[in-house]
Amino acid sequence: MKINSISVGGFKNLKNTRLELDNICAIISPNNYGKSNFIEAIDFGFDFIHESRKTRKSMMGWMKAIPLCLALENSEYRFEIEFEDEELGEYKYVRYGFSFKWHRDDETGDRITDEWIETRENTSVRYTSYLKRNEGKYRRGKDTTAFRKIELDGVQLAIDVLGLMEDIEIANVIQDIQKISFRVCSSLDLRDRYQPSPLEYIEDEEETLRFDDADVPKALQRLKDRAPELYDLFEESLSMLFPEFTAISLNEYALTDQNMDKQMTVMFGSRKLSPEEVEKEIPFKIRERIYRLFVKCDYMNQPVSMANMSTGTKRVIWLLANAYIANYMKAGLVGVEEIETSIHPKMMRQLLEIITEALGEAPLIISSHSPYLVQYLKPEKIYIGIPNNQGVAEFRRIQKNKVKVIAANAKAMGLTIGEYLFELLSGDSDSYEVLGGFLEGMDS
Amino acid sequence: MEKNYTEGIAFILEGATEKVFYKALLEFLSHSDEDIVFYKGKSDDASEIIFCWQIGDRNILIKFYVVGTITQMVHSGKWFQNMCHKKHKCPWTVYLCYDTDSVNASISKFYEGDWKALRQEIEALKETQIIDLAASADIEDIILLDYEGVLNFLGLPSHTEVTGRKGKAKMKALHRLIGRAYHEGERAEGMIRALNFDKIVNDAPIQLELLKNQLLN
Repeated sequence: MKINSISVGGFKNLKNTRLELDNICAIISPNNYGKSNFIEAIDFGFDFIHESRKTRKSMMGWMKAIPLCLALENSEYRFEIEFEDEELGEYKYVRYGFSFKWHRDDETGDRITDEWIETRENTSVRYTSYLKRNEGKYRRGKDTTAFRKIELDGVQLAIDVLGLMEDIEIANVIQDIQKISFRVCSSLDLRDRYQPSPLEYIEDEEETLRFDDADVPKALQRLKDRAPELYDLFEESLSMLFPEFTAISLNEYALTDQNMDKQMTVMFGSRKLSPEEVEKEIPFKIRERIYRLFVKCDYMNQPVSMANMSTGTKRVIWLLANAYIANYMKAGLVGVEEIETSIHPKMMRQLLEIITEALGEAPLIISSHSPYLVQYLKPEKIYIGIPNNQGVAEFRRIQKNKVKVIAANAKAMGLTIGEYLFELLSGDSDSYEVLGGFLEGMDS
Repeated sequence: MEKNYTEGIAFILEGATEKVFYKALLEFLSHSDEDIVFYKGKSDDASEIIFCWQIGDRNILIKFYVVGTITQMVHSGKWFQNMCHKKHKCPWTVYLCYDTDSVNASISKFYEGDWKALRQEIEALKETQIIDLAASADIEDIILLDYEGVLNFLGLPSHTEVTGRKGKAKMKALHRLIGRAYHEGERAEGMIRALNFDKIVNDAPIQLELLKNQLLN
């Protein structure tokens, strides 16, 4: 399966924005514009699909996400995804989306307002609709033009119901929609990721492999156990980026004192809790095993724990680990915020190449403040957010037919294309007007 | 160490591995005649590493410029103009060394028309000849022309087969077979120096013969 586009809007200050995805594309804008909101809006949309009706209800009332800026105050949340999957045969290309009205004090909100499922066999024909949510109708497949009735309440998605029906031809399409996942790397502070607390939540199962795990060495150990071939590629990638690392080792340590629980006293006020009460009241337990990642370097006389390496090195390893974990999990789409943070420009090209290769077919969306990084991307894969006086975030793509002009202007000014775009973004309203002229839908 | 040069050669290269390759090639060619003196030094103001090729009356200044992460393509023309052509008044030959496919990669510092624009910029300068050492090939594709030499260097049996669309992918796959990661740039120097350059010059899809002829004739 390959995701071809994603559209999302009506979330915080985000106006509807559509990204045509390739293996990599970038969103750029000044600070406090809405890049993180865009990434979060995508994450929110996928969560909405996967969550229960009860959670959806509370998501529609999530105060932090309801648009507050005047220009968007009545906007509904809207989410749409287009993907292709060879295995779907005549339903190969799929467009799925939904919208909902946010919670409102007048009680007109908290409800899904629309939902659509469309497919086509190839890109030269129009999409065919299989759901008319507002009319309460669905179509079971290509072999019939008749629509059947479907009854949905305000927090129910049609895919919840259609996915359970036995005689529906588009069942595989619905399964695909339900299994697409989005993974985000947004943490900037990784200090504790290589030396986490010996305590963990009781609910956490040690064997679980998680994307963006709070414990990077543990996640890598899980990857090594489940997909040794991907772990080998992780090691190879690390060695390519850091040739001075001559060996990498993941060490597992059992916390040997099995009686630790008995030696522990937990007080609740002045009362000592019994072991049963501790288990009930305290959501933590002491780990049975901990993991450490060590590297041997050309210039060190002994292996060094990753916990003691530089912030940039930790970040590169964290990005690589998550890229291979996303591959293992067959993530549909991956987002990384400010990928260049703490990383020297020299490493940027190779890092981008390795990450996109590690992700396989999953497109990568990055946000960036680096002209050096942007320089490595095709201009038509760069989406730019131009500041406006409404406080609205809207990302638009560079027009293909403007790339030559941009390149010529940049060269005339002795700048690279990346520098030139950031120069315009750092300017005044005149600069924004020039930049706007290069973007789709803004040059008229 | 700078003297009156009779001619100059400037290499403008796509990446660090290309630089290692061409340096090794020059080293190899310098052994063709025992009268050739080829050495590395610094410019008088110590701001540049330069190379000199001397034989008979010929005193050739050789400079390398890798299109870098920071400087990027846009500065390559200025580099040649200011650091070569203006600084040393002698006839220059500029070798543009690149993969014509690089521009099509999804992650690339090159844009359509970059090398053509550079060529036009340099063409306007007097006494300058430009030669494109370019093909639809990674530098690793060129290196792999001596496949036997690469296998030998890696300690792989001569019947080893490798798949991959382009040279870099093949090189990665070969290194994987011996449990090592392929390193570009100076880390590949050992392998590059071990190559059979006679074979590579003969078989290469780029006109390495032109460089050889310029230096040896």
